Amino acid sequence: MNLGEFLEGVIGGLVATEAFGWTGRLAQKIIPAAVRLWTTDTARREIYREAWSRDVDDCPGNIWRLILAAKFLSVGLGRWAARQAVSTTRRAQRRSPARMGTSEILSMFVKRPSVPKNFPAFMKKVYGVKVRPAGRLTHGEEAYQTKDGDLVTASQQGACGTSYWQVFRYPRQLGQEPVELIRLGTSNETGRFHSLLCNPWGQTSLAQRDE
Amino acid sequence: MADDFQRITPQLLAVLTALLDAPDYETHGWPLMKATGLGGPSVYRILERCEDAGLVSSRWEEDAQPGKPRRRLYRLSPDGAARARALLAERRQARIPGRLRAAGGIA
Repeated sequence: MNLGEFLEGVIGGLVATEAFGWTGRLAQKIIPAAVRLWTTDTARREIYREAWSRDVDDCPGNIWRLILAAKFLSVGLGRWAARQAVSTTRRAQRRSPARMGTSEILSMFVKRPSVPKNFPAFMKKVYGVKVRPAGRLTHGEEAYQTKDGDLVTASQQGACGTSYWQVFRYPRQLGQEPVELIRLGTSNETGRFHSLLCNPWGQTSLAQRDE
Repeated sequence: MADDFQRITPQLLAVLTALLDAPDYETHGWPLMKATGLGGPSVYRILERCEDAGLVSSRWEEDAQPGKPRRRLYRLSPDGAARARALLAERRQARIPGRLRAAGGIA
């Protein structure tokens, strides 16, 4: 081994140590953010902040620590998004408790999407939580149907909470049963519909318009 | 038990099994993740449900290592342990095909 190789080994080792040490520290930094996203319950936040830090600490290897912390953060983000979607709906319901027009709800969600536009694609449109029966579609909206035949709509922008149904991935954390959705297609017109028909080619498929 | 839990998932059963296998029915997050093969968020989500249903209680470890965060210990309550065992037995029974059961083929 010549001096060059020796120095290369030493420097490489130092760089690797520093990098892995950094990932370990990053993992510990992620935990408080993940806890804040996970729950609004302050008592549970206090508990999880310490308990999860210890779990990350118990995890062998800095890379695995970072992965574990990232998992907490990812699920925390999903729960936060779910809470946002539900609180948007509740705000809407409070504003007009007696009778709220469907167009009003729709415009509210469209104007104030409950999650950012760059919301991760993998969290979108997997399950729906029934908030209110839908009856109106606008051109370009995606149409879904439940197994019971109910109509579900979601905007093409994909941010959850833009329809009469909240469409997101984590309804269970909110104590709600998820509803599996079958994608029908994209609306080719605007109007109220009391039912949907799907043509056999799976193309734009909305029908039976309310008069 | 089914009244407390709307959904009995394999993950829930795995966590209950791991808690039943733990000494004194008590353990903390990391061994639960290792024993069940579940991720941290899944384990804590299930523990949250169990705690809310009164099956599990939690406390801080007493002999914490200095300079390290404390571990949170989760313990099946006596009632919770009995109900977890009953649920697991019920699930095992449900998996045995009816014909085998009727023929007494399963001990």
